[in-house]
Parts: sequence; structure tokens; C-alpha cells
Amino acid sequence: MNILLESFKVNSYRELFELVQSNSKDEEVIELRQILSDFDIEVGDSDE
Amino acid sequence: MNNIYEVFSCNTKEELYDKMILGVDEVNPLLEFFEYAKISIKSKETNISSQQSLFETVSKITPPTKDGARIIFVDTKNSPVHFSRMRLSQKKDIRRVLSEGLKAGAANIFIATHENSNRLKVDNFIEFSNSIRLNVLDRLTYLSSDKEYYSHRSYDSCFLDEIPEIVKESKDMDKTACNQLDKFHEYAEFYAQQEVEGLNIVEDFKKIKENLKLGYQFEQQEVFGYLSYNHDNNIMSLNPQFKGGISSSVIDARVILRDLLQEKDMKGFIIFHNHPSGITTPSREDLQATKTLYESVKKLDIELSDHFIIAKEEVLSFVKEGYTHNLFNNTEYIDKVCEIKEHARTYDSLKNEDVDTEESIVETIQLNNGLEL
Repeated sequence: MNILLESFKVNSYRELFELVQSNSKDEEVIELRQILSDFDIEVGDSDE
Repeated sequence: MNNIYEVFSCNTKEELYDKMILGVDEVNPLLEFFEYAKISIKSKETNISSQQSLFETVSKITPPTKDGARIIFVDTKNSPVHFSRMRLSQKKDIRRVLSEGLKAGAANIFIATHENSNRLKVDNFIEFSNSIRLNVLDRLTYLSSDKEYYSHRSYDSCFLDEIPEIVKESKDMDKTACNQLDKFHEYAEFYAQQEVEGLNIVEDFKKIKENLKLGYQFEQQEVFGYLSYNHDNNIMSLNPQFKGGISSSVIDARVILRDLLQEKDMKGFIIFHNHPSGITTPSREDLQATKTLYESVKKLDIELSDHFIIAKEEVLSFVKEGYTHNLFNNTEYIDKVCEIKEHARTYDSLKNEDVDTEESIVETIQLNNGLEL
């Protein structure tokens, strides 16, 4: 069981990545995006 | 869902970041996702459509360790859909990885392994993966001494300019978290010092390695030190000497001798340093430095018995692995270590008989996911 995928109810890291790239207002998605950013991983927007 | 810190059993952001920096297994999915994000950001090509794009992709991820393969799952257009850091020695982890790949809708995979990975285990994995139609499109072997990937398909190589780290210190980590980490390293080193003193280098080879691992496996900087021992081969002290950068550590024979010669009843010493990269294979610099140090101490009749390289998952012994063996002259120690090596070989051959059959793995995956293969 992959607790990260389970928590975000996705099947793969690609789906999770797309979720993070989206402009989702979901608190957990914003939080994950912030964690990535704290470690200098800027995912940008899917539109970019 | 709980907040993301609670998902990984943490109460605060700082606690989660500490676990990530230390590479605790519990946060492995987050680390894997970081790797996936790195290979998916700003890629010139979204698909791995050429040898060059495969090399570009792997150059962004942390290189495989002896036991830790890297698996990139791709769809039918070779676009990455998932990424896994898989432990070859753990069947449970192999099942998890295959199960996740199938669930992600992967069609093919690229696998990167370390030059010292168990070949049988890698071959078994590839054979099995192909048999369930997760075709292995290429296998890369990482040669750590040259920081180079070698393709088994095209026979091309690619050199890494720098070794990617999965996480560096977070820019948001506050001073408290950094201090906690420093305290952790200090305590680990202190603990190792307490535990190794009095151990016998001939009889307690494994214990010494275990304690050195506990002391330095998570150290982010390269630390060089030595263990001195008396005429009964009992360790007198553990002495960290220099802290260097991540990739190099300068071994200064003059400084070592200055401290070593002050120890009464000292017969000889064992040197050690850690590789924060996680890969224990000695570099050319390590081999040369050992030789130089040996030349310096032999004139003073001081015995140099071994050189340990410590990483997160293992500790390498130069004597046990046969590196620069002609430099080490403690025959009692060499005989004992070689005896342990022989035992390990026998044990490995027994373990290899315990390889999962394809049927049992497929069965497990089906049970876990309700998939029909």
C-alpha cells in the first residue's frame, strides 16, 4: 500500500503530479506543493 | 484525509522534513514522488524516446545503491507514469513495486541498478517483469567510481556532472530542526564511540561495523576517522578526524600520526570514512589515500589493518572485499575476516534457493489488487 497515493486517491505519481500542477484549492494539494517548493522543486502550472 | 504530516506519522512539518533528510523508510513514497517530480519538470521531451532522453532522465534521480534499484514506469508512448526505489533483497518490496506499476497503467519499464547489485536478483526481476508484459526497455548499470551509467541496450555511457541528492536541507527548515539534526549526528557519533571501545578487532568484526554504521550512516558530510587498538587487538578509541565535502575528504597523514602517536600501547589502527551518497564502492582517491597512509605509517612499525567505508545500508571493509589487500599486514585479522567472508558466501548460496517463483508473485499481486494478468 502506498499511503501517499491512497491519501490523494490517485493511482500513480503522474496523476499526483498533475494534481499538484493543477490550480486545485484543496488544502492537502497546496500543502504538498509547498513541501516540494521547500525542497526547491517548483512544479509550475499545467498551463505553463 | 489527515493533513500530510499526519499521513507520515509526524506532528509537525519539521518532523516530516527530518525524516525525509534522514531517508527514513516510512517517508519513501514522498521521496519517490520527489524523484518523479524531478524527472517530469522541465524535460525537453515528455517521452523517453531516445538513449539521450533516458540518460537525461536518470541524471536527475539519485543513483541506485547496491540493494536499491530505480524503476521508471512508462506508458505505451514511453512517458513516465510512476517511479519506484526498489530494494532487491526484499521480496515484499518487489511485489509492492510491481503492484504499483501495474496499477499506474504502466506498459514498459526502465531499470537502473548498481554495478555491485546481485545479478541473479536483477535478472530474475527483469525476466519476471517481461513475463507479465511489463517489458524492460533498457537496463542501466551505475558505475559509482566513474559516476557513469552504462546502457545494456545501446552500450552507450553517460557521465554525471554531479550526483543528484533526493532532498537537500529544506530552505524552510528552521534553526530548531537543524539543531535537532546536528544533535542527532553528535549523539550517533558519541554512541558509536562508547560502543566500540573495548571491542576486539579480530573477534568483533561485525559489531564494530554495526556501530560505525549507527554512528555515521546518516551523516550528510564526509567524515574521516580512525580506530586505534592495542597489542591485544582491543579498540582503544574511535577518533573522528576531518569533516569534508560530500564528494571528497582529505586524509592528512601528518594530523593522524600526530594524534595516533600520543596513544600509549597503540599497536595499530583501522581507518574509516562515510559516503553520504549511500554507495560504498571506494573511489580512486580512497584507494590512493589508503596507500599513501600505509607508506607513512609502515616506517614507524604501526599496523594498518583495514579501511571501512560507511553508507546508509552497509559498511564496506577493504580487507573483506579485497581492495589494496597487499597493504594490510595484520594476518590474524585478515584470516578472521576471510573466514567470515566464506561463511557469507555459503549463506548467500542458500538464500538464492529461496527466490520466489513467478507464479507466487503473480498470485500475490492478483490477491492484492484483484488484477487479472
